[in-house]
Amino acid sequence: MSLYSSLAKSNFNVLKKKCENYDGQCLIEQSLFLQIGGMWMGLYYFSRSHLFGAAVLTFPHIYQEKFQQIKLVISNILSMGFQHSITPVVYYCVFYYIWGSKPRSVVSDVYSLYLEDPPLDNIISLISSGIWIGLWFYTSLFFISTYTMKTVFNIVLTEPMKFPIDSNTHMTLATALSQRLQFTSYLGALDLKNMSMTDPSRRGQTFMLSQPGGHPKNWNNLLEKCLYIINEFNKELDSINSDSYTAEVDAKSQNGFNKVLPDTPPQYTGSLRNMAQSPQLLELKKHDKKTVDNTFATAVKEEFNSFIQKLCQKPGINYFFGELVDTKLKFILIQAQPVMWTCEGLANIVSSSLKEDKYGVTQHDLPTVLSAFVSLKQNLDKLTKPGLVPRKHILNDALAIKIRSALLSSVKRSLYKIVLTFSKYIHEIPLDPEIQTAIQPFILCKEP
Amino acid sequence: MSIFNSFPHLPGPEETAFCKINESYCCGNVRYGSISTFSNSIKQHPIINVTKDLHHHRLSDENITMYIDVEDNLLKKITSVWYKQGFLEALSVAADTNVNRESKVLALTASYALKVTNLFTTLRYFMQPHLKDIGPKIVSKYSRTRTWSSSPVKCLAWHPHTTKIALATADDNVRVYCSEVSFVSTLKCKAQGHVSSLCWRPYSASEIAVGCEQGVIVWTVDPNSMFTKPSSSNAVVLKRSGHSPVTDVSWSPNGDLLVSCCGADTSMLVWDVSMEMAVPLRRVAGGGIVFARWSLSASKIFAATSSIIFRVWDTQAWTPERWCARGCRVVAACWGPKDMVLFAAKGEPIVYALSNTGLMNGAKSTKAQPVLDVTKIELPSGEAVGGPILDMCWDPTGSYLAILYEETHLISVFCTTQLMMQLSITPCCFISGIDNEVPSTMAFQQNFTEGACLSIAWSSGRIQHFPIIYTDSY
Repeated sequence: MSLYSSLAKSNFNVLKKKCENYDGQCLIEQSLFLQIGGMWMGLYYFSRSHLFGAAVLTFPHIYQEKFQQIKLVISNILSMGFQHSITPVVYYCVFYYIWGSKPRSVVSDVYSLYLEDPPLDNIISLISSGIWIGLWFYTSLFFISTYTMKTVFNIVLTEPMKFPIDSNTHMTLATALSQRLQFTSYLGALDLKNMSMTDPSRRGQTFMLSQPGGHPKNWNNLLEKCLYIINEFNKELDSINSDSYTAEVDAKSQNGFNKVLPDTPPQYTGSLRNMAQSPQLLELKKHDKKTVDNTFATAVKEEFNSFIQKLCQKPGINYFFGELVDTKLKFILIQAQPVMWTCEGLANIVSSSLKEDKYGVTQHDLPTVLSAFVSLKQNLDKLTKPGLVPRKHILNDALAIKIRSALLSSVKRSLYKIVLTFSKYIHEIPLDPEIQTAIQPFILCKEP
Repeated sequence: MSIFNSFPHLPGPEETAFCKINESYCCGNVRYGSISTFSNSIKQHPIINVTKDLHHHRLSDENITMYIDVEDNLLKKITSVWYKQGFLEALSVAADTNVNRESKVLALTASYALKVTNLFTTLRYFMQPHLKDIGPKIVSKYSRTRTWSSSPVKCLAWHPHTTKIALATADDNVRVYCSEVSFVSTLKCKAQGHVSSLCWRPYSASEIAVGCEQGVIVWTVDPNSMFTKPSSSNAVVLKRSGHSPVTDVSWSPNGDLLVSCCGADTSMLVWDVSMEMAVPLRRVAGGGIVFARWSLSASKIFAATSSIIFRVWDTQAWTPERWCARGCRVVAACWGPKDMVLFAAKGEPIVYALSNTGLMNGAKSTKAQPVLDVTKIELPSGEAVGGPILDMCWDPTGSYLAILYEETHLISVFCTTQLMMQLSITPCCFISGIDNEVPSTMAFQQNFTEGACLSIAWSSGRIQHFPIIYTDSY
């Protein structure tokens, strides 16, 4: 705030002036008002955007050129800046009216200044001094600059990236996808969707066999990562749908069903690659851990964990320390964007394989893809029909509800896409009876 | 020598055309003939005649005179006008000395306020002349339906995957007819007025977008539900200030994005429907966007403006390629296989083709090729055919093209074949109505496997399904 006021040529950027009537230094209260106002605005902005609001990075559903995007939002940012700064200014004026005399007396004591002009914590003198207009203007500037920074950051961050399918030097699409919980997985999933729809050459590369060997390495890698994303998400939903206790049992029995759980390749822990550490070393470490597993300590640990869990089940404690199911659901749903893209991308690739896949590499995996989609759809259906679940979760967050319906619609579309493309051959695909009954409405175009 | 001379002869009096099977043009008696004598392909199709079930009152502008005037007091009058028609209308009511006899002061202030607002509106219209028309006028001006405002069927749309057809009737209800069930679902809600276009969502059995005056309404019609009147809780209204009335809606062929256009808005909106978010696409010049068409592969969008400019958007980078039509605005356009687009300008009897637009063949120098000349002529039998084009439809396989004319009332169907990027157009047949019927609008069925099936809405409210069957063995 003081930066802005110093830029503007006025006498508010110094705290004191020469008194007119007495001998000595006098306080310019306007300057003090602005200084404290600046602190207030910073605090207000921080608390509003970081404490009470969740920052969700939203990807635009179509990505135009950066300049075009900025052109579109700039007028909106300007008007928003001016509008949003009204409320904190009003709050601040009220605050200053009630508490303003205290900082003033402190400052004038410390610097031994006199007060000459009428005090600002009087409504009439506050309005007549016109300082609130200045404050409002400076606050608007502050908001506009922060919004602009945020928007530009958002635009640059959400720019789609192209990952190669098969490369030794660059990060491939499959590795980008496998870095779950990181931003690259978002970009990877988005790229998967774009690639599957618009990029026939990379699609062709996916269906290629590796030389030498003749294995569909690219496809297998990609599929594994996609299914991992979908199944992990599915598991999280499942644990919410069933009660937290039975969830683990379910997950174990689910393992039999989702046989495709990938054996994870040597993974680097931590977000950055440590070049000094070879994957073998990591594996060794893991190996060590496994040997320790069966000792007495772990037994005690498990006992302790189950005790804590039981403790958490007690009503009072559960209320304060237990994981809130609704909040968790919201948290999971907000992370659902890459799952949507993965589903759509996978469905597009699979359905384009009918014409483009010369070696038939995808055929073998059709049942697993279908079953993953069907189980995800069923879990989402359980969320939308609360009557079927013993403990209903009422979502009261508009964003989460929208994401849920978006996810459901994209999963359904993906299923439709595969089923309608393969409609002539759908009975020749070896499917579990459950899955077969589940996709029956899709074949008949009866699924809403 | 006009192309129309080589068409098969029209059926005689008392006869009408039912279908075309291979090369034979099947006609029968108007009253006793039936299509089932020739083909069973459309046996399951819903039989639709709209006028029969339109017996409830229509809430349109014409029959307001039916109601008796009731004298309300002034304040009530003004508030009701304000509520129904907005602030400006309320002001003009208050300023009108015939209505407002009680308080002179109010009338005087209102008239001055009205003068000031009129000044502003004239200034605004001077800056943006395309905004001058209001609501339904814009829709009827740009609609591809003949006499949109009074026709019993305003528009119709086939479902992309099943035998299901939706049509908007004159009372702004949307009716969904399905081949498997006998009942008709009627979609109706308060916001749905002046329906201009319909579009089913691909890869979904239930969702349909309705373009109407306020915005776009996306209905979810559960195909398993037995309700004939789904409640408005199944509808999502997507609207945005300045984007009204919507003149066209179209889904992307992948079913993920929805494009809505408005004749009075220079930007076209790309919606993510479930998140209810829209991104405007806008470029300088051209006036309001009248309609947009997705190419079959979803890689391009053809957007026609209300001026001579039209654009072909690339859907990957979302950048447009600007084109200018020669005479007038583009009135109809349709995409075919291999990203070829056919379009026609208003008031011109010529169909142009544009293929592989853009980078592929050296951009700037390419021109749209005129491929078909349909200048109006009189047939030996006395009927007039051809003239300025009103609407065009290309069937999903790209082998039949149906054209509707502004001045003449015969629909002509052409066979089209694409060989080595060259489009050849040969005559197929005419379709005429029974006793003075005039075609309002038409659409090809999307999932007809035996050839192509054209559905035509006639001015009498009858919907005719005209199958063109082609068997390989022939």
